[in-house]
Amino acid sequence: MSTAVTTAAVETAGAGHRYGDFWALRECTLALPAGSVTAVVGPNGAGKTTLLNLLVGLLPSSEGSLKVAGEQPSTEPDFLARVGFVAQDCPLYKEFSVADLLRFGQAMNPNWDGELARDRLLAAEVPLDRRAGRLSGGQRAQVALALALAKRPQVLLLDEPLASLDPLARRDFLKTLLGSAAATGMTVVMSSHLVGDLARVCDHLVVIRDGRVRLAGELDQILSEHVLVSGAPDQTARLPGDVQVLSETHHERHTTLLVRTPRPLLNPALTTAPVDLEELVLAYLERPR
Amino acid sequence: MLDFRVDTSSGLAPYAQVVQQVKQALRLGWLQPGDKLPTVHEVAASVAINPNTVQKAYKELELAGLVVGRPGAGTFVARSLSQSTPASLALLSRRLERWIAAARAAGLDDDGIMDVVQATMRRAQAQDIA
Amino acid sequence: MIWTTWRQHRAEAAVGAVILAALVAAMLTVGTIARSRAHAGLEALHRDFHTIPPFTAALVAIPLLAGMFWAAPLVSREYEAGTHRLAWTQSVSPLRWITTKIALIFGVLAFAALVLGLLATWTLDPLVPAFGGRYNSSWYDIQGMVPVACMLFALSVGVAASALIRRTIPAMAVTLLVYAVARIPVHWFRPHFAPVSTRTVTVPVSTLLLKLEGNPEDFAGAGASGDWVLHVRVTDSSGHPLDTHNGNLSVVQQYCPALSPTRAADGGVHVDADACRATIKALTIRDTVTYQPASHFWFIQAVESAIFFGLAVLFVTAAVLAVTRRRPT
Repeated sequence: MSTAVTTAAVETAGAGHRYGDFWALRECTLALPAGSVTAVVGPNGAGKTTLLNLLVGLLPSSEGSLKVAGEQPSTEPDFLARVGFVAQDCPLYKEFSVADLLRFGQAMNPNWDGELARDRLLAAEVPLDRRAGRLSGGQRAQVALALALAKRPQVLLLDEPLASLDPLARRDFLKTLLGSAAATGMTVVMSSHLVGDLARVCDHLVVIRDGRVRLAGELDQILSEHVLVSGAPDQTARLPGDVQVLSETHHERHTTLLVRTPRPLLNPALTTAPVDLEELVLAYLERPR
Repeated sequence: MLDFRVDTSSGLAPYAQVVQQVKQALRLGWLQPGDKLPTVHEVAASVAINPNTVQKAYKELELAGLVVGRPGAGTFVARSLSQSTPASLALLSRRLERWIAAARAAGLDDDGIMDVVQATMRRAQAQDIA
Repeated sequence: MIWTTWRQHRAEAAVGAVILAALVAAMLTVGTIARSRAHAGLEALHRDFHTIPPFTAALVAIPLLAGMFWAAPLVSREYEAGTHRLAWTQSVSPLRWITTKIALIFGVLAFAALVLGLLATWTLDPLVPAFGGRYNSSWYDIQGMVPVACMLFALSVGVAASALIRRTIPAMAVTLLVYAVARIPVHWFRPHFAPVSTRTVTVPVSTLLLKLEGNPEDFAGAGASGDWVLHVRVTDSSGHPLDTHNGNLSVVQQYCPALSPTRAADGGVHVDADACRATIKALTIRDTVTYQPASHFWFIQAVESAIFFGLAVLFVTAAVLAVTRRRPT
């Protein structure tokens, strides 16, 4: 795995997309390093699918710019060959057999690693002669993933791939995905409205709500910068200037705050505790703007 | 081999948890000097943990001198965790007894003492990492 | 992309092949039988083949059915199943995807339409004289080049509807509507695709006495010549228009009011013609016939085909633009 990350595999600058008068995504600025695994989290309709569609070139950008694998997203074969995409609900041609789908992948992609795809499907125990319409949800996800991985993309984008999978299928999918990421150094961007698996799976996090990015960065840094602070109200009122308060709860004799602070809080009169990732994400999703 | 776990509510960054788990294995003797740690790819593919997390953890362990990475071969345990000498342990125990007495005098009960210890350790860890 | 197109549409191709085989067999049969009976005379041919097996109706419908069932689902099927997100994120641009599909599917179906058109021409050849010419309206649509133009037009409307509407059933309905609206009125414009001819036939009034149930227009001289009579203006010898509404009988009565018809036992009209024959011996009427000669048939077909080829190009362009202009998915 490369640790010397110098280039961003996914870069956006003020990107957005508008449907008529409605901005599904606005002023989105991100820089995701090569080899990272990023989770894009947010409620349904937040703009996650819009972001992914912009990155893969299925949607044109109404403002700002995007760069994926060093190129602006387009429908040109050169770009398409570098980016893999697994759309929501893992669409497949239902009347094709799994073997047909592999043949489809080979026919449609010049850099096609058929052996990789077959190995993946063998490991996932997906029968090659079964029609795609008769596969279970977990098997369909594995097939869709295999098709995307066999392209050997530099960047792999996935739109809520885990949404309709049972826990076992989810775990299998993630094993395949991360194993491939480890082996190839490919960059992964995955959207989800579930937060549970994120900490183990991702090293970067993007939180989107109402079409805007509320939080973005390296997961380790995010976790270390957010703390739950409690203390007497007069103490909690006097926090350093660079501390951002996300939520406040006032009790009779003390106040609890969820804050983001770049430096550790050393005031001994304050009790600090780390924040659960799920709680942290919820705080950004609930915070009214 | 090793079974890494990442607990989302532990408050420790994921890579720090992996570091902790390796150190625990060293302490308990499950890992001996010369043993090969699972590769980043193996961990990713077997327990679905982010390969960058594992990589970062191994790097940290390497900086602490506990493991050594050999290009092309893998990451190997370099030494076991230093056992403190009996003398230094005795000294630490006496200092701790005095502190506990002071804490009890200040009105802290056992739970209160544990709270203070844990909070202080966490702060110290955060300072180490930051 | 060629394999992908084949694999996605192979079931339809099989159905199409069966239908094509059935129609070809039907036409070969009819054509062979018609040729073997050619010596029997036009009356016999007209009687025997009066109810030609409904392959003519099927052939007229083929382009529309192709447009509705093969072209209208082409793009909308992908949108409905969400597979456009799979198809257009492989290493093939949407432009190449749609143009390859159109080229292959349209090419195969146009070739099939050409085969059917040429075969229909061959099949109807011996029957043409017995049925008043090639211009016979349902026959016109199935001969020569017109089936190819109709096929390409219907397919192009279908694929454009598919790409713009993105739902299969509405696209099929729109295809039906547009095709009907475009093809049905063509019948009225068709006579103008080539310069018309006129000729004048002089008809002695006494001849009208021989067919009192008929009309003066009957003598315009179409029928076996295969010409398409567009309009007949009946005038008297000095050019004044005659009222021919009530047939030959009323025309003759204008010259010879004494003519009194009686109904005979066999239901026909009988008159005592001797009185009139002397009066009208030298009188004539004129049929001025405006028509498209039989020789213009292929030219008219070519014009009509060109129009519909042109429309097909427009619709295909619309379809390609709709697919390649990235719009909200």
